[in-house]
Amino acid sequence: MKILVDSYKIAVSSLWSKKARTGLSILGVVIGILTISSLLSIALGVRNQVESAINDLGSNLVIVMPGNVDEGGGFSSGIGASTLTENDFESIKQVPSLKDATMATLVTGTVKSSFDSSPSLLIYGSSPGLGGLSNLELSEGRYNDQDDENRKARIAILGSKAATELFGTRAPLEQTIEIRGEKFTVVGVLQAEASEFSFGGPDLNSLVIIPIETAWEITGIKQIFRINLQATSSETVESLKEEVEEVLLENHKGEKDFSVLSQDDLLGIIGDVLNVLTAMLASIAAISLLVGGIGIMNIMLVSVSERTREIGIRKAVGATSGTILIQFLIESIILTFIAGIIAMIIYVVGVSIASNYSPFPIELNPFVILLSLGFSILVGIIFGIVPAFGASRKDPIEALRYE
Amino acid sequence: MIEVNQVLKTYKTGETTFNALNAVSLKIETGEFVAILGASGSGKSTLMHLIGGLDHPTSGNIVIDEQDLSKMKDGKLAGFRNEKVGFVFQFFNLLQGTSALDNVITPLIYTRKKGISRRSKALEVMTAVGLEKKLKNRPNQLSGGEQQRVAIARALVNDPEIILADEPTGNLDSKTGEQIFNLLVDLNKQGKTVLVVTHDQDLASKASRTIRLKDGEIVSS
Repeated sequence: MKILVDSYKIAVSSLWSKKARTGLSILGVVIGILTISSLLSIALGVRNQVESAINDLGSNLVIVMPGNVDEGGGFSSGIGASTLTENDFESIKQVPSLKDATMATLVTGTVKSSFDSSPSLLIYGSSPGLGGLSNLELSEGRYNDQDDENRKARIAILGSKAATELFGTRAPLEQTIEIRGEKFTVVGVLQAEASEFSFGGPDLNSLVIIPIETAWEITGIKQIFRINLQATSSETVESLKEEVEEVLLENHKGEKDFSVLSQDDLLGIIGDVLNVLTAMLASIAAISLLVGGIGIMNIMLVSVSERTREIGIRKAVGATSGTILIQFLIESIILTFIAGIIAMIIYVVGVSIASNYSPFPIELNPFVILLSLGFSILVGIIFGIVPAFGASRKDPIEALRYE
Repeated sequence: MIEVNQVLKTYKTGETTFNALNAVSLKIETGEFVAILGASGSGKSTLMHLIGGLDHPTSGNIVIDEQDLSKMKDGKLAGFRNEKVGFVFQFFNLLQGTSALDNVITPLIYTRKKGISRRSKALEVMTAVGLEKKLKNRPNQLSGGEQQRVAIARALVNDPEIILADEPTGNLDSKTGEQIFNLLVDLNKQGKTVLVVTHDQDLASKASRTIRLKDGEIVSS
């Protein structure tokens, strides 16, 4: 134990005597660790965001999509003509675990108002009931109802961002918008959703909801892009999935050309994607840490070679190979640990500044901090062991003769 | 007591082998002051290194106080160097960038002896060599003679029985050299066994015994 304290003192004074060199080799590791920790916290931030976005959609939701996600096609398997029909929707409505169901289709096109136009809004034809099923709350006005469907009414409910883009600060209610050359009256506006982020699903604030019958009429195609279901309770989510799959398989003559996903399934699928993404980012960052580590190894090799005589002297007065090894290993660990601490200070400061400007929340993550500090020590050991071993193996007489 | 029995030390450089020491045997009693004389390349330093446990003989053995050095593993040999002997070198071999006091303390970092107050022990030997006012100075702020005194203080700090000095005056002017040599004579009077390698006949004459080496063999002892 005493030798650790002594080694620490020796290492500090030796590092201090070569400030510029010490500083530069620390810098390399700081950059490496900072890259890893920031990429990691961005990845974790995105994951949290996606998870909360999915949970925000509503509770006990089950989504039916065209195409088979399980068979490796991922979400792209749903691209193309939909395999879901109105008959499917009617069948699903009969299953016991269902509380509520809506079907939806997408309309492509630019939305115009008399003030502005926006091509980036998501025109979402939905059967009545979306408000009850999802967590989308109205800030004013009303949702579409069955009467609207029957009349194929030209009405629309705007997401908060859609409302701002089309009308600025003006009150959107009872205003007229134009979709595919047809005039629609705005009957409702949604509350702003905290999370703007969307992953495969709609950006909820950019929604322009219209009755699905109306959507079918103006596009001329009776497509169902998605059926949104709500189970009676969290316990019945799984049974709802099974019931729906059974009904649909029957309708589709045994061909599984659709997917039934709960929110957990969505989290799982997206989680897999994010894991790959995180691993990719981490390996890129690992390269920068590797470069930093090689810098440490290089500087330690130089240091060992320069201090050959010192090693000889220490051995002559009684240092064993083991204590020399510890001395140099501690020196490289100190280098990388200081780098780790500096990186974490920059990380903490950087995160508090960046979180004000970032489009998604970046959180200070204690896990990232601990991991980074642990990593910095590991780098010191991995890249310090070879030089330290070299130092410990030096022959004292040769070392004492070294000029 | 130091016993050197039929010690052979061979160095290989490429194809050629070179016998630095050739079947050297000698005995040095505890408390002796022995000067080892000889031309450069005669094997004086090699003999010194072997006795000090810095190196293993190729064959033969060295027994010091009934401990056979040739049978010691590296770790044990390091302990022997730390506790039994103190080295003084021609080129001082002090740690640059480290204060005189810390240089003297260095052997105490590695000692297994317990209960030593490093600072007071170092202070004691620094006073003994007359450098109590230069504790904070670094080697490059000291004269050659002062540096060699620091080296002697370092050799003494762990109370070794044997002082091994390899041409301790070789890098000093004759007056300073004599002072350093006298310091070794004093240490011998205090009971230390002292071995000094030297070129200087005059200084060697102060020793109680002189051993002459030539081409790795003892010619007179």
